[in-house]
Amino acid sequence: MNIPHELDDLKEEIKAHAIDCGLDFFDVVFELCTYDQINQIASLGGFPTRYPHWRFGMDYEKIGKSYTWGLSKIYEMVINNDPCYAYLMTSNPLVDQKLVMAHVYAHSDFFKNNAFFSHTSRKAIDEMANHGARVRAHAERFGHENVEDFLDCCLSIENLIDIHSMGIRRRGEARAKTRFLEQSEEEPLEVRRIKAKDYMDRFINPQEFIAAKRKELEDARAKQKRFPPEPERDVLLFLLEYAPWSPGSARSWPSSARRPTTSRRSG
Amino acid sequence: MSDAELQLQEGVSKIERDHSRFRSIVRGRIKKDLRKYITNSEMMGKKGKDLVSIPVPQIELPRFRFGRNMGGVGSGEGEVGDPVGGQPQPGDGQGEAGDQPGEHALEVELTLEELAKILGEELELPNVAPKGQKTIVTQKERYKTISRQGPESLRHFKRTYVRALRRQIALGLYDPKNPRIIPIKEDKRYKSWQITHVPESNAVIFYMMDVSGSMGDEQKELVRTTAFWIDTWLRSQYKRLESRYITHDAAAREVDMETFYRTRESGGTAISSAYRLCADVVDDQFPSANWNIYVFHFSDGDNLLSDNEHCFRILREDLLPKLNLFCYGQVRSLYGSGEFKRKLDDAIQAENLLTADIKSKDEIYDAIKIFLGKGK
Repeated sequence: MNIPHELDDLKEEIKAHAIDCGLDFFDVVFELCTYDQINQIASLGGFPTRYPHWRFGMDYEKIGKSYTWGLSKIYEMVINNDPCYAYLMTSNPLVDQKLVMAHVYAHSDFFKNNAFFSHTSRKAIDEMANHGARVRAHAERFGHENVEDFLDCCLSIENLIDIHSMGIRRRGEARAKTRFLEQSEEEPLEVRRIKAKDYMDRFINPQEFIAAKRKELEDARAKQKRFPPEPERDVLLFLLEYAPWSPGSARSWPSSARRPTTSRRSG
Repeated sequence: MSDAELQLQEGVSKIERDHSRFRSIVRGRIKKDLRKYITNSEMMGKKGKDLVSIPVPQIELPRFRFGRNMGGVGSGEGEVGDPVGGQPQPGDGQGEAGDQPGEHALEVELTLEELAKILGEELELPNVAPKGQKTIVTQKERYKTISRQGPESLRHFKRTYVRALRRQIALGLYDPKNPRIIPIKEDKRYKSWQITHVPESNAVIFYMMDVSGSMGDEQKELVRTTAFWIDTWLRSQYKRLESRYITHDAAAREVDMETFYRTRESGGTAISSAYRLCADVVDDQFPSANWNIYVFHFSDGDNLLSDNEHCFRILREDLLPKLNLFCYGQVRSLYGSGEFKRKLDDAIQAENLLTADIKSKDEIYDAIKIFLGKGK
């Protein structure tokens, strides 16, 4: 969808001003949308394509009703992507469009240079679309109900992620690879016995004493091997790595739920 | 069409699916275990001077809450029924009832469209099958898109081939000297249909009501309620719908909606007058080849005895052959015999003639089911 010439001209003009102001931004692609399209994209978190889930429908209903009754209006939406995608609403007056476009260039500069955002992925739109395709493929294979139920579970812990993971590495890569289950291969526990002849062994190493000692050792080992050794912040990632997933190789799903980005403004 | 636009359009159809799924959960039709998480928040809007409450159902998936989740009702010792927050305090019994009006807000929960949908689901009404091919307002299914799943018989050879070729080249499996392309499941593409709406459709409803002296307010209330639901349903089925209203005692006249529900006349009853008028209007303005015509007639069944035969003849000859449906609803008569329904049932058996008794509000439900249950 192309924007009309007058907006295109404005875009160039505004872009020049932005550069003059010293902004450093991704290129911006503007799209002209009707209010309904804007609402739909907004309920999909700003992305044109995502995985199928009822909660997007829920947001759509809320946003739609609120617009219909004149309580709010989304006049600007921009996606942290390279190039940046920004949506303009057809019904906005020209002055608003100008403001929004100028505003969007500042957003784009922020996305590109902010310490937090500078680590984020710039291919979010494609990633989202890929997640969507993957979830749909899984839904075909395992049944829509099953997949949706599973997503419901993932979404209920979607806030248990490490929002600073973009900038801070909290643990070494190597450790992430060690598997919890592998530790059973360790050598068995052995209590040290005092040397004694066969017939004296019962008296020199009484069984109760041995058993108590063994328990002590087991406790100590269990303590040593607390799992995970350090508390984890990113619960979703932890599950992603360690949980035994049931339906096949569905391990990539929760990553669909671990995604920040976009800015949206409404008034 | 550019890529972005394509994506946009895909997104559009997707949100419809997500949205209808959400509505189904809220209405309790699917995923019943999620119902307990539904909260009914509301937004306050304004319509003119009035406040309106716009309910926004939300489903809150259970989640961990950070911070100290203190206290709250339902934790700690105590029996069911103990007052929360210590002992009950005797009040001092002073004070009067307030004299300020509260703020009233109108709820705008449902659109008529949603109402019709619920009605259809509740009564298990079949969708109307309009008559006459060219006048239908319908959805047409045409095979003009591509989907990732489908039956093998609809496999799109070219697309599948291109997909497979693309994958093999990307994976380095393609050998130009031995160009063998083997599609795997992910490569396959199928022809798929898209629903298109054919915009034009014509339907007209005639509401006829007996307003003779024997029809009281209670009877009219029944008629009004029934007519409202019928109207709602048919409106959901046709894009364009006209309504005509006819009242009759001993003579019939065409009126507007307001008058239809409000008038109270007196006098005798000659049902044939209304049928005659209806048949004339149909002939004049709604040629049956182009229109789907519905007639609903409500009366207390107290017709002039000598008029009955006349009625049946008009029905048989002039009306029934042209109509999708003729429904006769008989409300309980205060005075008379209420014979008309029985006589009508005896006299004419036709597929598009339906009759029902509506003695009380409870029977409206059944009457609608009888009238609309055939999908005519």
